[in-house]
Amino acid sequence: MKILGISAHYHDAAAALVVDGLPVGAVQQERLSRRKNDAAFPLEAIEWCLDSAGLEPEDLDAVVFYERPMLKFDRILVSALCAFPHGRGAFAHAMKNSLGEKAWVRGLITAQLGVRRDRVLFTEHHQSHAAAAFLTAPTRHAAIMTTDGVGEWATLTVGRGQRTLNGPTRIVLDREVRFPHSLGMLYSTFTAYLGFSVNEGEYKVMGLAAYGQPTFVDQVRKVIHSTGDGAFALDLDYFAFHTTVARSYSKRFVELFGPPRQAYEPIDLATPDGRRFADIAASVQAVLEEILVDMTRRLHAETGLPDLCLGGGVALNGVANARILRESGFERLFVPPAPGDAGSALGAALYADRIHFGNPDRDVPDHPFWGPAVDDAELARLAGEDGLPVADLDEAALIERIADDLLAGRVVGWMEGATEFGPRALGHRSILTAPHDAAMRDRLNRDIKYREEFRPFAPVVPIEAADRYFELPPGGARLARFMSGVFPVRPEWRERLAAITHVDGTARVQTVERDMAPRLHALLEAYGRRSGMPVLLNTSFNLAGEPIVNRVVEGYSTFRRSGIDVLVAGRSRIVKRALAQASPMGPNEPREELA
Amino acid sequence: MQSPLSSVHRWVWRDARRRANNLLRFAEVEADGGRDLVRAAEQTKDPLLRRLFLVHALDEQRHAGLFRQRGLALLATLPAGRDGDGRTDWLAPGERGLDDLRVEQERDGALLAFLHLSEKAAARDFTHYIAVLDGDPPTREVFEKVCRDEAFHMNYTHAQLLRVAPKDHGRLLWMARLRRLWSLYLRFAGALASVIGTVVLTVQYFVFLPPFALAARRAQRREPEGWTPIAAERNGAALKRQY
Amino acid sequence: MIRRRGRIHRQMIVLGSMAGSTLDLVQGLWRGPSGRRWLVPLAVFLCLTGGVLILAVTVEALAPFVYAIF
Repeated sequence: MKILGISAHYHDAAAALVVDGLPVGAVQQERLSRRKNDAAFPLEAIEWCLDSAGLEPEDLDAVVFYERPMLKFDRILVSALCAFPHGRGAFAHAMKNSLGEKAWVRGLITAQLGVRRDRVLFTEHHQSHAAAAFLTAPTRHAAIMTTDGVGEWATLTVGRGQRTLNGPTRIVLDREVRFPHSLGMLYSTFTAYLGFSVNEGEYKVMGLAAYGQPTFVDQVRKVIHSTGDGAFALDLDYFAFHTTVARSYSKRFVELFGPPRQAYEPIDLATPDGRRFADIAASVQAVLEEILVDMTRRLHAETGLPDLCLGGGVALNGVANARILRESGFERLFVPPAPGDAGSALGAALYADRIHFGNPDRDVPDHPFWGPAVDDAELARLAGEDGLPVADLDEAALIERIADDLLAGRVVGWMEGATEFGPRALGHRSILTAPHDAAMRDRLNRDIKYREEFRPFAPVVPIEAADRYFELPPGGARLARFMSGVFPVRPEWRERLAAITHVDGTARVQTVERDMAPRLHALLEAYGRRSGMPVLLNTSFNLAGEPIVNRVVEGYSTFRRSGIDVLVAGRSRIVKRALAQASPMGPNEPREELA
Repeated sequence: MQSPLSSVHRWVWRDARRRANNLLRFAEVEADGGRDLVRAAEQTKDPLLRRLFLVHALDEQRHAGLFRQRGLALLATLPAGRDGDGRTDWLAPGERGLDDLRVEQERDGALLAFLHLSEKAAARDFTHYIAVLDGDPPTREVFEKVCRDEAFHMNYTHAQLLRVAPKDHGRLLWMARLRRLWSLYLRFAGALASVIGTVVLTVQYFVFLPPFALAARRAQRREPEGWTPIAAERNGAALKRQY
Repeated sequence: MIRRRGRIHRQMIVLGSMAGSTLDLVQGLWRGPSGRRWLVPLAVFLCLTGGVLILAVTVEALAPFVYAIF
């Protein structure tokens, strides 16, 4: 059975193709359209999925959209009515937006793909998240929690899933918290207040939080409080997202927290305002963690299950995830590589396969590499056209050469195999460097990523060595598989891992198993043999404002425009011309192949 | 040469806060234009064009930095206030870049013609701004630096257009001109339609919605806070439904 | 390979699907547990308005004139 899953129209549009119960391809639209967070109907992504499987749209048994558009329209309309008479702007905007296109998804899919109308199916938004989290995790029976900004009405759901290999699958969501009460909207409101872009700057709030003290928790608790039944509710007097599209917070919110930061204002932690913003970020992070820990603790007590699958955009908060793992009572926490809306394309397709069509369960391969693959010959062609020397090396020689590069303090753009599905670069489209020196972090921020100083970089380490450098709780290595948890760097290593140790002594670790990424694993080992530490800094291969690179030509153009010293794609390696010519060929310096 | 719009430009650039906000918006537009050029570089099969587009993209990136830096410096000299006093960038446009093009669908010749005209228009606009920025030498200096690059961009796009379409460059330039005019009309039509649509929907809002709003409020008051049970039939419900 | 249709063709298909989708909405409101049957007339009216919005998107050059339908 061939099922296409689609997510679109809010942020991070994506497509995923499931054939006979297993994913065969999944990619975010932004990676192909090259527009960051592209929310448009993902025609290119769909086309890639179909082409890579050799299918035509008419071969599909079903096309599944990741939410129910009419239920969502109901929520938008009711919210506009509840805001009357203050929501006229939001009403006009929402009607044009929904009724001008987004509400008519069945027609849109039929028109774009030419599939029959009765083949277009719809899951609920949180069912898609739940399926993406549970059906891709290596567990048979688990509690499920999904939490994000909002889907149709639900903003948070809990339930459980059970599957039997080659047998039936059950996903039952028991209860939900409904819009406008939403943890995702709470965090996004603070993201907007702190002057960052909503749906993009949430990482920055989390990074900034480490610089502050949670001195505003009492104020945050005024805007969100626990309900008697273990859930939460927002005090809507402090918010405006439910009445207007222009802003997320109200005047009362500003009275409570002080003037907001303007988007253009740099954050200077030496100033009182800079410290206030950091403290507010720390406070909302602390309250979010408290609520999530409390809810997951109750869920654990209620289900008695050892495993929890967490889905939805809030599951990208690695600091909160680590606390859930430590404090909720669950032994293992599974967060998929794409827990947000992009991943829902895969979730929707899997949900339709297992639940709607009742197909037997199959184990989904436990990796994130579902996108387009590197064309090994492309780098040689591009570099050749620009007169740059290219080295085509065998696998072992390439690994040794790159390890030498990294030891010499070079910044390496690393492209191999299929691109990752989800927002993290997990070793197939990464920028890698030595993690030891804080100056390297500053160089990356200044010359390559062009981003704020307060944002940390992540380390990647072989799973066998992870515990030596990082304080991983039981289940931590699993959570770190897709970089979903933030854990302390062991104090004795912090100085030698200065580039990846955040100001609070933590790091968003990625653990690598040989089976998942053999080449990256080999590189880490080779680097470890040279430096004594098999740890590298791993950051996504993109520049500020751009999506992560997909094709080699995009990696090449990024290499040409930034301070990256070495580019590897497949088995080809090139270096910057100046670097190649200046290479002193010392004992640790590789000899360059100059034309 | 004095622009017929010089008094408008003088008004737009007189106020320091407006000036700062315009510069910050220009920074965004330049950065966007730079990304489009990167896309163009990644699409073209012509190695020379790829190199030139990448150089051009880096220039745009640098311009974005210059505008942003100056905008922030200006803002820092002003007392804290509201962000902007109305958008005036439509009166004083920055570089339009490739905002009307889907780069991946364009052939090199059409892209170069469009770029050439865009750069020419931007250079002309920036020259006008320089003329009215006597009172703010640092901002004037930023525009002068950017203008020097625009001259290079204008020249290389024209030279490359002659190279890639030696017999066809005149037609391509005319097509690009017509296309810019058409885009201008579409922008205008879109804006007008948006205004009319908003007015119509706002009228509907006040005429038809009040009784429904009352009912919605009453229903909202009945909604309990906290958990809401999910009905069993919703789990695995027929996926054909959109509601 | 996806066969690309022209914009007008696509939008006509979308227009053609509106009745079915509106029916889904009406059924949902009528049968659903939310108790919002009272919303049906407004929802149907707005869906009809949606037809005009789709037309406006279809022929963006004529969009201001399409709104003259109102």
